Amino acid sequence: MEDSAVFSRLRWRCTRRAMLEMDLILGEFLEKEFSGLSPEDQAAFVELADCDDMKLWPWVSGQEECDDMRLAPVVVMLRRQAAQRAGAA
Amino acid sequence: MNISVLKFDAVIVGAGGAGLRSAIQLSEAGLKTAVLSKVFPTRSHTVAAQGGVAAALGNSEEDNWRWHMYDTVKGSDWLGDQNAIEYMCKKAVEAVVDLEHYGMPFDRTDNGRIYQRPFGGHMSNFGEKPVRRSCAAADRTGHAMLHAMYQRNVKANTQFFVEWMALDLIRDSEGAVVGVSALEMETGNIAVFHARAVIFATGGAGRIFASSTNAFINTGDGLGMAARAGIPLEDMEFWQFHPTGVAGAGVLITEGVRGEGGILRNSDGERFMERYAPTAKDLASRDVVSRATATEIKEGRGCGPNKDYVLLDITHLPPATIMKRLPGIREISIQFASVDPIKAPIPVVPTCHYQMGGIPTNYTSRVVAPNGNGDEEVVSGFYAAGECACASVHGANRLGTNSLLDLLVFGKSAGDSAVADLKAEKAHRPLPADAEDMARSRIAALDGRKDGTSVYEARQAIARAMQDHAGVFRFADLLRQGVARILEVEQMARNLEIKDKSKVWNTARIEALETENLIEVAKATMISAEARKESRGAHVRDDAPDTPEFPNGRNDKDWLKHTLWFREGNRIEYKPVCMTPLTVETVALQTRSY
Repeated sequence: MEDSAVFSRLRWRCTRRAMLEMDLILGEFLEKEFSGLSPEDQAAFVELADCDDMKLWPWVSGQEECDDMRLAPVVVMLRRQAAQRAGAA
Repeated sequence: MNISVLKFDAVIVGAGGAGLRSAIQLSEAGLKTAVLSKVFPTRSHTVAAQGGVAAALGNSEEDNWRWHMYDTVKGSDWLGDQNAIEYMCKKAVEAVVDLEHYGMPFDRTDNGRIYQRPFGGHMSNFGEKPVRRSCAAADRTGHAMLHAMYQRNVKANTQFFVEWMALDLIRDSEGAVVGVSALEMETGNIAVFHARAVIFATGGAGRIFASSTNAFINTGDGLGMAARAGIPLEDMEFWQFHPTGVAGAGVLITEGVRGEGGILRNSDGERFMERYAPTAKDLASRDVVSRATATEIKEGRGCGPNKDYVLLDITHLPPATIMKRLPGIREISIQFASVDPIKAPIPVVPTCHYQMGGIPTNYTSRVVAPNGNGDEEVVSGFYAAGECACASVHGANRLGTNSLLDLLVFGKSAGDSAVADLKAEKAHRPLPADAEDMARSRIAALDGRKDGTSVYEARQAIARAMQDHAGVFRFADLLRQGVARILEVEQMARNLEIKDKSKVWNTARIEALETENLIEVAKATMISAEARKESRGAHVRDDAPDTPEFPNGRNDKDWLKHTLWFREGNRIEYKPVCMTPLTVETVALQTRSY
């Protein structure tokens, strides 16, 4: 598959999720931040996007800590994205 | 364009709760069953149903399906069909037991029985006092349910077609449903699924509103396909709303925020609930708060550049109280409103949550439509269940935790009905020569169009029109203007242009196809709402107020009937409400009050 198709598939998987909350968070992160990530973090994000929302939402909303060392840095970035938004408001 | 034909006994569109439940019945009966889904099954929006599933098990205290039936009829404001409601409430116990056998991890009591918790509107002895009837798996009931049913389907050899989008229903010259056309996202190819039974379990269409708690996936694909195939949509004016969703995002702010002292303010900074509910103020019921908010916005006292939301203020509460008593609210507000509620108020608006109407079915989940002789008949080969269907058990307003029950009971009955019908008729009816023409021509039009409307623009226009004209509280003038406006928006939605013409993973094309479904639901909603000149359940009109003659604005003399909207000519017909249960006495008409 071409890169553009791979990205389109990722966009679909980030914006057609079980929970609205995760559509909004992953969709925005993909558009704004994904291209600037290191290859390792990009891979971790793709893996995160494959997780169930019931696992992801507690991590991203800060109710639980992500215990997976590879995924945790990207979870932190997702939370930071939100904090920055509030700071700008 | 490549068209291949795939032959199955049954094809199910949608892999949420209703689709998975019906697939179990079909696959375990040995029928070759395909399930099509836009996403992996456990990503379906059923996951977001956290509350529980209602069943009169009587594990915690005495309960009875007749009491559950009474609560459901009352909740529906007497618009629910009483045969279907009896069927659902009676089958609820079996539905929960089935799930338990599939491995669903229900919460338990100390003695190992399924734990039941109280829920709004669940009463014992025909409305006398609250009863514990809701069965849950912590706060992830829908999620646990999907996982249990998906595993059961894998074991039963159900064939899943994941990341496929169904495009159109295929009917033969006699009107029988003989399959669906569908698009495989990974290749861009179209296939025809030729089947003896087609079950729609495509969920709701809450994305028609600008403010909606529904995930992006809920674009009403089944309703759009049914409408294009000449099948009416029933009671589409009835949508459940929540008073405080984050404006623009739709994510819910729990009612606990007002319980802890949160205050709603308009653009003048006024605590407007004092005018609408002098005693209860911000703690008035959901309906009252939603209507007051809608009135403030309509009268120009909304906030923000478009004056289209109000503010939920907790800045006067000590930060420690917010952190302790309202955990998660600060995060939600920061995440979705870009506001730290310790420092600034949260923009909120009444937010669409659940669709009561849908594809008309009887209580065996067979789709029914008027036959032109003043009666209705079954559409051969076609079944529907879950939020996309209207059996009708929710009538004008759904009782809490009946949505998961609906998809379990009617998902199963759709499967059982199809199994029974397929035993009677062994052969596939031939596909019509033009089986894939509609799907093919829709895609060709999208690919060929220049100078059309963008999908983003059309979706915004639909969502804005619905929110402005057919929101939680409805006004005659706004509804009339809304009908004209949505018909204008339809022209945009029929003239979509996509820049990307590629085949593989063309999400622009998929979103355009979804938009063509959204507009059908939007028209059905606006036109049905304008036509119903009473208030009932979730449909509340300013010009149908509470009077001694019409308590709550409900007019049973003229409006105790179901709406049927037909796409062709935007025609409306009505059909009677079934007031005769299967075995028990009618729940007689009363004024609905709690």
